[in-house]
Amino acid sequence: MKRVNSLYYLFIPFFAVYILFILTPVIRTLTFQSFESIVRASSNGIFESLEYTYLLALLVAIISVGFSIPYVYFVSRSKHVVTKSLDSLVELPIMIPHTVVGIMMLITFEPDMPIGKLISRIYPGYQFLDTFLAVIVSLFFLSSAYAIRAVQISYSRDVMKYEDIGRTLGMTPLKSYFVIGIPSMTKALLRGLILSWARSVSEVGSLLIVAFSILPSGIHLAGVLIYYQFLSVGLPTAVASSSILILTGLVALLLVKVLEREK
Amino acid sequence: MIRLKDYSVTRGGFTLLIPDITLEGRRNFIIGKNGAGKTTLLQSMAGLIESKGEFVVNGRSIGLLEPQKRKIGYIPQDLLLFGTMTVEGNLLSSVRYGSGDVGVYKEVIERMGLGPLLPKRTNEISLGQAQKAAIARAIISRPSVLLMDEPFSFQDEISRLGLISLIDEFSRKYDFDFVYATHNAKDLEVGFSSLISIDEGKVVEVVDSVSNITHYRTLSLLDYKNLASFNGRYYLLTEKSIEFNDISGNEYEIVGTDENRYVRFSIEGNYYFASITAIPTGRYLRVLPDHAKELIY
Repeated sequence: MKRVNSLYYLFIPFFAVYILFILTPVIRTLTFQSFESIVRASSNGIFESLEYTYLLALLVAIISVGFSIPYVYFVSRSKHVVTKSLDSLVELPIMIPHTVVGIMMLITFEPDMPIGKLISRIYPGYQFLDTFLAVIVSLFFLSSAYAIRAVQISYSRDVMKYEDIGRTLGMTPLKSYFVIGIPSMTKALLRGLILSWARSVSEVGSLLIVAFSILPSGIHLAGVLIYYQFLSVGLPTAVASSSILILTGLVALLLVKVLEREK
Repeated sequence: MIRLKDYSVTRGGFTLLIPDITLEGRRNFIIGKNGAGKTTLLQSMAGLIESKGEFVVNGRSIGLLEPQKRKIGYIPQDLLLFGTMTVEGNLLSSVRYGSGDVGVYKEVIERMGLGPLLPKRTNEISLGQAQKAAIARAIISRPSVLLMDEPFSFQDEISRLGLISLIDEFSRKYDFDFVYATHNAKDLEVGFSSLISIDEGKVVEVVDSVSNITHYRTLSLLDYKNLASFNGRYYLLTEKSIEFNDISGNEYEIVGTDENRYVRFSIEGNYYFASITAIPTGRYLRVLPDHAKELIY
């Protein structure tokens, strides 16, 4: 039997306290009201909202992962100090308060702002506020870092070496990348997809600024809807919607863990 | 023939410098302790890291070419079989997408008895089988030079020498030179055309036989069983016996029984022992050839 030192036992309480700290509010939310109440609350538009939220988050996650593939290739193979420095900007959106991100998006992409004006000239009739585009741009700004870092860790630590071996076997960089590199990154890409998707699903702050309700249908995305329900309808409805959101979030987290274990 | 002239590689704070070496034979070994620069040299020759200077293989200057155009095979220490493919996929990868030859593929599979492994995933085969697969994959790609960075270091001595001998056989059949990096001088027992000793990023010497070694600082060479050092001088144990002139009288001690005597001696911090034919008088020590062995603590 493997011997365990005293430090191991000393740290058990830290583990237990942290897990309890995470679990307690989750359990409290899920048990705040009966299952029937949650089902009844589902008629308040949460499922329609979740459908939009999940699909848009998936679209953003796919764009993030798609973008991460060439980005990671370039950054991992670049030796230039400027590239490495600029790469550290990837985490910047994570540290900015999300309402601030919403404001940043607004003053950058609204049609009467400099970049927005430029886009308006190319695409007449261009709108930003309360559009799918605003949602996608804001969520991409906030969640792409998760996809990029998940893929980057896998690529720079493992995949590059395999690609290099492919080249010593006579493969061009392109062939080596597609035959060896991309298939070797499958799990990392999937992990990046799930992390990016989960991050987008949880977003509220920036959406309150740029897409409180998406026109023309006027649909609220899940985080915004729950906030709106809390302010206008009351706590029980907001908690019921939150329960449904949390349960789906747990499924996503479980998927990530299963993938990690397989790896 | 391989020639490196005014060749240098810089990696972080480490610099490898090779003024001018020519390897004319088929079997070439690089020896040096960990961190000496063996991997850096091999990776740069394969084109995987940047280098400066001239690199010529069989009269063709390839130093500026991309890895896929060099015809340099490379087997790293961790083999790097493609985990997303079966063994067959690995072996056919160069045939399908690179410089491989399907005729060589068939011959190598048969000669190495790899047939039963072909449908298996790379995580379903043993280390020994993976090493054979890595050799096969590299040979099928038809390299002019095959570089090996201690790919068999986790094998026992007999298996390791067997695999090196196998590569030697293939190098004659498919006409390629090989360069084998090792820190274990016992690997040299298969024989070599050239032996490059590297230490701290510099080539200490290049020789075509052990007897030509005149100056080296690479500690790892000292455990080669036909070599011994005493009081700063190196001796080749190829004669029936050899005399060590013991000046200090304190560099060795006699161990063993009356019937089976050994002398234990220290060379730069490493301990060795050798059988002796007579009890040293304090001036001379006699060591039989092929009896000096490393004493492992």
